Amino acid sequence: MTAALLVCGVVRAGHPVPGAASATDAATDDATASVRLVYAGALAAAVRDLPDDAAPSEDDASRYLDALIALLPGGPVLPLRFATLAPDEDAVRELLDGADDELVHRLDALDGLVEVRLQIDGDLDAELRALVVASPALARARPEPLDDRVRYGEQISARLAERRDELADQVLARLQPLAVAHAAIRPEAATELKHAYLIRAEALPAFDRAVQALRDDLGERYAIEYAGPLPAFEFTDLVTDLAPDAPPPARSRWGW
Amino acid sequence: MTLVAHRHARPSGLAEILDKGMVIDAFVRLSLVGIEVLTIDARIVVASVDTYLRYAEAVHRLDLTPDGPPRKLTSVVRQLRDGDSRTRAALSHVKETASDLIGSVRDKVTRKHGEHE
Repeated sequence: MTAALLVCGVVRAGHPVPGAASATDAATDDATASVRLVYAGALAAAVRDLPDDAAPSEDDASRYLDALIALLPGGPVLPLRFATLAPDEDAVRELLDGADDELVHRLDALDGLVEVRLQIDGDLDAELRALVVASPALARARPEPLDDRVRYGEQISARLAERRDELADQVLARLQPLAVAHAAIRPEAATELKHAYLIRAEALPAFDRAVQALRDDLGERYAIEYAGPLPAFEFTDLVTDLAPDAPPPARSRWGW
Repeated sequence: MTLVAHRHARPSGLAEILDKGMVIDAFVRLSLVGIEVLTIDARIVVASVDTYLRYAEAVHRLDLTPDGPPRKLTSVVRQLRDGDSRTRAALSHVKETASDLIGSVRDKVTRKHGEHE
């Protein structure tokens, strides 16, 4: 099969065409230039052309994200999994038609909401020092066989994760009240904390202030990366999450 | 404005976003979904053994206890390279799991094609 279209996401049919509004910088220009909307009923899919037979590359991934971000100011954006490919526009329309009700419903649920992401990296040496002070036996252990050493490292990792989880509780206590939903993202290291928050777009300034306060209080031992607003990557199942027992409701039930 | 300067337009890591996003059932037969997720999971499994060793090394590097000189990281790396059975077992396990998964994704896609045509 020769795949020709990379389907980035789904928006409402009335969504402003990407690139039509004045672009604010070169990156936005580039992201929107190659993206177009394919319409079907109440919906539109944001698609990009891929050269024939080319597998999606890291550059494509980057453009996929930029394109979805660029669409966000125009209304709700439902991101589709990266590397969703379709052979042509007819196939895209056919598939939008097939999932029409569900997609409209999910877009309605995301209306006015954006995702922000927070990554907090604890300084490894500082974290380890705190551990060793708390349990000096940990620093005295000198396992030599590699298997023992791996197990020892695993214990340290578990202790670091406990500290990280305590920090996560504090962070949540501050930020969760400002958010509609939150998700913990699997971290890549035991000193790392990753959260995604779904917030109302108008709550962004308040969230900025809360993150800044967190930054001030945590100090230099923790590096904080704060990014957004993004399409709701972590919350595409929001409707299901909020009403797990409800059958797919009529659109009018979700006025927001 | 100072506050906005601290918020980036996009996260620095792409990987965790690429295995998110909605999957429409009907798209499955047309897409490469699954392959990207697979790559990311395998990377994390391989990284963990290495990470544990790094933590073990780092605690000793802190030099909070006087007994014994700290081991050099290079010796750990050499040990890994020259044949640690545990790492090898872990790696071959990842390989098997990956090829199993690819096989099952392929089966699914073939079946779906069959149903639709």
